[in-house]
Amino acid sequence: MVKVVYYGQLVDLLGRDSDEQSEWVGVTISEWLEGVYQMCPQLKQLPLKFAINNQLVEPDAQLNDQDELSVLPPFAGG
Amino acid sequence: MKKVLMEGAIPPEKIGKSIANHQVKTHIGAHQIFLGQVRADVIDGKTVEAIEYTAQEQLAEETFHTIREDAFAKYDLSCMHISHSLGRVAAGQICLSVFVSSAHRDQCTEACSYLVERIKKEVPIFGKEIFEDQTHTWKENK
Repeated sequence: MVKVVYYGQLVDLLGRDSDEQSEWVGVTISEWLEGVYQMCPQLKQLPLKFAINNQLVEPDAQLNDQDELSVLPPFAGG
Repeated sequence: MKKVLMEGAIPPEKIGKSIANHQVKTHIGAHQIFLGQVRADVIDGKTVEAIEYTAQEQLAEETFHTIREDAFAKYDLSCMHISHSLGRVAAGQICLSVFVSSAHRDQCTEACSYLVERIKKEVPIFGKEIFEDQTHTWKENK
């Protein structure tokens, strides 16, 4: 099982703050993202960053069982 | 790991207390303080009345920790205190406080600017700008 947690404006755009699927085990973030783009094309406008288990990773990183993927829209601290 | 995120606006008294707490550390010769204040921006004719901050909290705290450590390695600093708000902060209130102290002014002045730039760029904090009519937009650091 892979858990995906959405932050900030992604919660608005997707209408939920997380998803959980076993079929994402073994896929890369880029592959996962293709599916999300089909569901919500507006997301393509946003530069996203990703973290797996609280470590920033590149989109070519692979999702493994029990991973938690954080999908991070543009930052706005300060 | 020192916790940076706190609920609500940063009270001015907290900054005053920080200054008072450093008066016993007499090897310090300079403090540099940056305070980020929520601005009542007007966007498409609507005025921002507050920003509601959320974060990927664990990654945010770890990123603050890394930035702190990097600043301590790069500059000759005596101490450093950083706070950032979560939740609703009204226009005019303080949402970020960076307080850096050193023996001489050049080190803390440069470190403070370095810290603020890295915080804005690297910490996963998100800001929902709430207008007076309670609609909202999302802030993005440039």
